[in-house]
Amino acid sequence: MGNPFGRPFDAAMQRTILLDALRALETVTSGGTLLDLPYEWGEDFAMNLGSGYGARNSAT
Amino acid sequence: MKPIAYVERLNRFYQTQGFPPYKWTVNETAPLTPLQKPLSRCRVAMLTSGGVSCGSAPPFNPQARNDLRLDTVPSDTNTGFFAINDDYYNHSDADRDINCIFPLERLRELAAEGVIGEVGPHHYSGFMGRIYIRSTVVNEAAPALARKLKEEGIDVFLLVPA
Repeated sequence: MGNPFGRPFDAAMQRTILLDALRALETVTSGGTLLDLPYEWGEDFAMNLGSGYGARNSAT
Repeated sequence: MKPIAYVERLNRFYQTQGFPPYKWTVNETAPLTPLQKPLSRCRVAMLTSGGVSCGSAPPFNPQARNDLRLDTVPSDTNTGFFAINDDYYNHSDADRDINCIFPLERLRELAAEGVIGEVGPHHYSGFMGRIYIRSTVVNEAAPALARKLKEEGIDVFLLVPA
């Protein structure tokens, strides 16, 4: 959450994810198709929600 | 690292707030509308639901419920002209680079390169979270937006949750 197109200022990653979504329009053959993209963040991160969920990371 | 079970955790969190188990919308059918032309000739626009306001527009209310506010965003807006007001996700990265959640510049680049035909005249920001009046969305708000998109000749519309 908060990074559907990846990292800030990583134009290459943002472009790749956007293109994956657009290209899917040309390849998907049935409605409701979900595609898992292969990209990994590369480092551990806690579940980091906004303050609306109370103290960060408390919803474990 | 292992995937984070967001859905399970959010549901558990909701129940600690006194809500019953969340009932997710189940769409029985999801008809496919195939592209009618190559991507390189399509006009593309986007919607963000991330509480993104543009220019002099008032901030979104992070505590809002059932807020069907929908802002029209000129697609050539400078990426420095946005503000994010939403307490339900971490937008610290998007505060620095709006393209993390609303890839305006990336879409412009794809148009300049001819990968897509062009960017539509407007993008949209709204339908922020915590909308519980689903029938109003399905029967009124979404069709109204669809009509606008048809008027603007949009072939592809990307709905981007934050």
